[in-house]
Amino acid sequence: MKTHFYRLFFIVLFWPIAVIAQEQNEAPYINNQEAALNRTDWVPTLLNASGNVLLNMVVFNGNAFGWTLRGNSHTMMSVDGIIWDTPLKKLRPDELYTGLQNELYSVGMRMNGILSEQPYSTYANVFYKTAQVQDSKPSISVNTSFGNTMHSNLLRVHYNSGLQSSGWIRSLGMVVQQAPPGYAPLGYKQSTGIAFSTDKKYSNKILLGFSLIWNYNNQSKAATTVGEMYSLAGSKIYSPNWGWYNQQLYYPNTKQTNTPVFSVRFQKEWSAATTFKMTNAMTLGNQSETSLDWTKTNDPRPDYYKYLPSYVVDTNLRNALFEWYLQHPEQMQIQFDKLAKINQASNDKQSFYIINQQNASLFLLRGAAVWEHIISPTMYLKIGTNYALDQIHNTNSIKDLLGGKFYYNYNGWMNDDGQVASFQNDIQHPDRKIKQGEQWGADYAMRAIQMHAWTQFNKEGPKIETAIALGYGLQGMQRIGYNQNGLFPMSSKGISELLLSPSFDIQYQWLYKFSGRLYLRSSFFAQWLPMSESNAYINSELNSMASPFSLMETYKGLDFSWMYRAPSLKLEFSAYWNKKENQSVQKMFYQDAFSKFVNGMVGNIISEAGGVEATLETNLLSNIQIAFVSNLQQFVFANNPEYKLVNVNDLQPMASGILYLKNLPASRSPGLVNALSLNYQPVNSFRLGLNLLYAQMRPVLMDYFRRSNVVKNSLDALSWNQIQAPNFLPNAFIGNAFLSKSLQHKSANKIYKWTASINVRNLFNNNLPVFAYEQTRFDYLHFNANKYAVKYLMDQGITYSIRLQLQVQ
Amino acid sequence: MKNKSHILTIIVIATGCLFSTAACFKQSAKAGISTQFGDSLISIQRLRKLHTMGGVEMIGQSMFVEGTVVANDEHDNIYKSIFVQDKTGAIAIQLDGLSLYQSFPIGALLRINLHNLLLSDYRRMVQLVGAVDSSSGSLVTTGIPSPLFPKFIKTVSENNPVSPLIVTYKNLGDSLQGRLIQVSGVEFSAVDTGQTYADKKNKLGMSRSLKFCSGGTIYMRTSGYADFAGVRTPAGNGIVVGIYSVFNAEKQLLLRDTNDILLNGKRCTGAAWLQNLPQKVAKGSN
Repeated sequence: MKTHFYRLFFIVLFWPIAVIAQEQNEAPYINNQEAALNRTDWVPTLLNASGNVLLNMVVFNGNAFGWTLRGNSHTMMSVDGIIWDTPLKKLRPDELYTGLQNELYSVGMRMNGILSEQPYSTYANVFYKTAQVQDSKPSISVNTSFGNTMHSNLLRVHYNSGLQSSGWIRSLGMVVQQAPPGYAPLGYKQSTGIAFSTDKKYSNKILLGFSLIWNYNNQSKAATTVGEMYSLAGSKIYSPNWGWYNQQLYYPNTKQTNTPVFSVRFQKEWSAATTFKMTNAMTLGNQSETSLDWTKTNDPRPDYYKYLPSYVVDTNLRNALFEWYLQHPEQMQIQFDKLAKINQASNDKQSFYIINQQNASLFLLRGAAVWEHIISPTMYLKIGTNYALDQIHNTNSIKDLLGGKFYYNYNGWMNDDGQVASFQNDIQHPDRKIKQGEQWGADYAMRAIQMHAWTQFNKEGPKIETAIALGYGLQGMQRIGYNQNGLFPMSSKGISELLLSPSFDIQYQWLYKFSGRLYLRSSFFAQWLPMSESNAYINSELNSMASPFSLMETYKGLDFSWMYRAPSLKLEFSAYWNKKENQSVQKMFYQDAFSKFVNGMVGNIISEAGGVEATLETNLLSNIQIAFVSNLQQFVFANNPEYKLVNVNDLQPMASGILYLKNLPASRSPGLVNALSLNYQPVNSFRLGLNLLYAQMRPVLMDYFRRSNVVKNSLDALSWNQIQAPNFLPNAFIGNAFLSKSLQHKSANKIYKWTASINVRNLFNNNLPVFAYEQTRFDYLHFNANKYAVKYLMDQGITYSIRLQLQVQ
Repeated sequence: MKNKSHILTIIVIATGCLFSTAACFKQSAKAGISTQFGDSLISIQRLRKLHTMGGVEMIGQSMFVEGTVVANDEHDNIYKSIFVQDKTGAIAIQLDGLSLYQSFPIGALLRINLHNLLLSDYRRMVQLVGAVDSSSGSLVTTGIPSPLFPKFIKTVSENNPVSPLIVTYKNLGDSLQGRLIQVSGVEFSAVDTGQTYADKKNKLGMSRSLKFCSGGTIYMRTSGYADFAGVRTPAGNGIVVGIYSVFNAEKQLLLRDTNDILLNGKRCTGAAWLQNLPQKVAKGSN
């Protein structure tokens, strides 16, 4: 496959040069605007099909399989030109807009590596804005939905003032989501959000706008577990992540977001050809996560490997344990009352079990500016700049002492070396007893500053359109420690040196227009990316030491697409290739052979993705729209990278070598997905849709460290092959359907539009593992791959959401 | 005449009913002891008698014992076991779990369901275990898995008083296995005085000899994982409380923690002492 792509690359590279040369030999009257537009051989530009069918299918239906495209790990959202991505690891950017996506206005989607009319962005592929300034009518809408998932109970009220005579337009949306504990099988969710924006046009040339989006969200987290527990529970909605505490449902693993986002937009039209847009945004808020934590006591998780029947060697005992779980299913949940009893029974009521809360206090400042100039009807230039200033202050606090009176401020995730100071989180205040609500553990902040400037030039010709974009950026990152821990007293407190890393990106794209229906497009990109906190530091929670594998990641690729556009038929066929180099990964885990916690670091990882994508859109019988997409992709490691294991206590090397990852899957995205979408719309007010997806070649996310030279040298060839070989999930099929009906009537000057819809997901109630991964903990003593088994997250099964909306205009 | 025989018959019948009713009461009194763990409470002494040294016996009947926890893993000198005793004896119970002291603190009265558990011994130390495996050629025992603790063990009450049995060297025998005992007039041998209880750094267990002034030696066995492994043995003479154990023919004492040691008296004097002393101490430096 690689050879074919290299051939395609050279064809793509040299063909346009030949064609451009030919064009240049023709009469140069293309610089005359009027003449250019009147040329009969001028092929119109490519009009995008209704959205990007493939990307739509991935974003809105692909979650069930972990389906991503072109080796990307996730969809990046841009709002008003601002991307809330950060090199700092404790930010969950998607949650800034939880539940409020419907308050945003979608302005486009694009595949990674493809330039579009959207402002140039290295990462983003889904674009929104907070306001629409146009001749919109005033309206109020009330939207309520309910269903059987924790995301489906929702009440939304939206008000749009319409463009007023004063030039102002305002919109206000409020969203409340409520799925209390016990309502939905997999957890709970309580979310309240508001989205307010106001814009004003001054003299039709200046637009000024403000937006405030405030989202408060509190929800439980999904939990994976081993297949044995699903079998024992006899249910795909089993979760080990809850229990009963004082006769109430209790979820220890939760996440919260409380992040108001305030943005100011400015736009000025200097002339009909020149526009300047700028957005500045800021968020001051908190994101937190809670989890059950424990020290010097038994593991409280019901699916801990030692509690499973498979762990018991003796057949009689194993059967007895199996029967015991069947007769006492409550034993497969966390026994909070028992944990509280242990805490209360301890000497001086010291807690051994707590609910810990990790807090990230956010201060994020962002800005994006774009200057656009239409040089001629066929050429335009954009120059833009982005900046970001991020500071995230990370602390821990005790949310619940579970019946005890205090918890010692000790680090439980280190190796007991017999030194009293080692387990102190704060050696200046040793042995501190922490009460409920008080702060403990690591206290540090991460700061990142980014500047990025870019330019994009587009030129249209009668047959060829070209675009080129260049970007350059600089990023600085540092750690500020506020307390001094016993493991790293010299490097835990204080301000670390600023780690500077530049970035550079280039993208080139051309489009050949055979006719108004047939197009050929190719693009090439190359990026040199700055470091992130995850790969720059060994363990930023404990110290400011840099990772030995922190190198500048590079990412390059090319794309080749053939498109056919006709009124009733749209076809697109793409082939692509991309390569990432100098990636690194870091994980802390317990290494059984050393009986110690270690930091595992992998560096110089090279991965390659290649694939073909095909989409077809057509109409059948005039009121049935059919879309078919097919995606065949391979995302693999291209080398055997290096690794190192160091002792978490003192970072002394314990093992190193290479990992045999070459040609193994580098992600969990399926290798082949075929999807069919049918939409039946006999009249405007009725719509019935069905999406059917079938995924094959679904890799289980791999643990890198077990595929090391040390393990290979310890085993015979057959055993080694069994461990090294990747695991795959069964092929999966899912069907999603929706139905909507709307009614409209007029009264006085108002139009009342009623819409009712129902969405059903996983229509056929298939047993679907959504997510599966190999645990990092591995039996390095006896190399039993089943000892720490693969963990899964199963799909809930058939879910529905019924929505009612009233819009008054 | 006829009336008298009727009366006699009634008296006989009534007497018969009286006795049979009493028997019913007695039966129901026995039934009142029955629990969800079966209806046969036996003593630990009787339980121990079911075992033949070197063998393995599975308890196939529905029986239970009641005993008070006298030692656990709180200070890590005992690993994956607890010791329970009643008035008749004591036994070690192997449990496949950690931090057992949190669920089975000292003084807790436990009711143990013996059905399907096994009796075995390790170097002549009798123990109750969950499973045995001899496929490797040697006997490997497994404790009761922690999720099954509620199936086999019920806590009846907590904070029951625990008093050690005061014994002399001559009393030390297999009937005391697992019991909390107190010995007095003991001191560490000169070689073992001032030494650490075990090798904490390398996590190696060690035995330190405790000499009786009246003659005889018992070995204090300490695990290298014990939290007091690095503490030095005292130089004095006095009282030691611990769990009596055996390792083949060797008599051992397992310490729960250093609070059970009170060796602050003068070291031994008398004829028996002469056998214990190295030369330098005999010159009266103490």
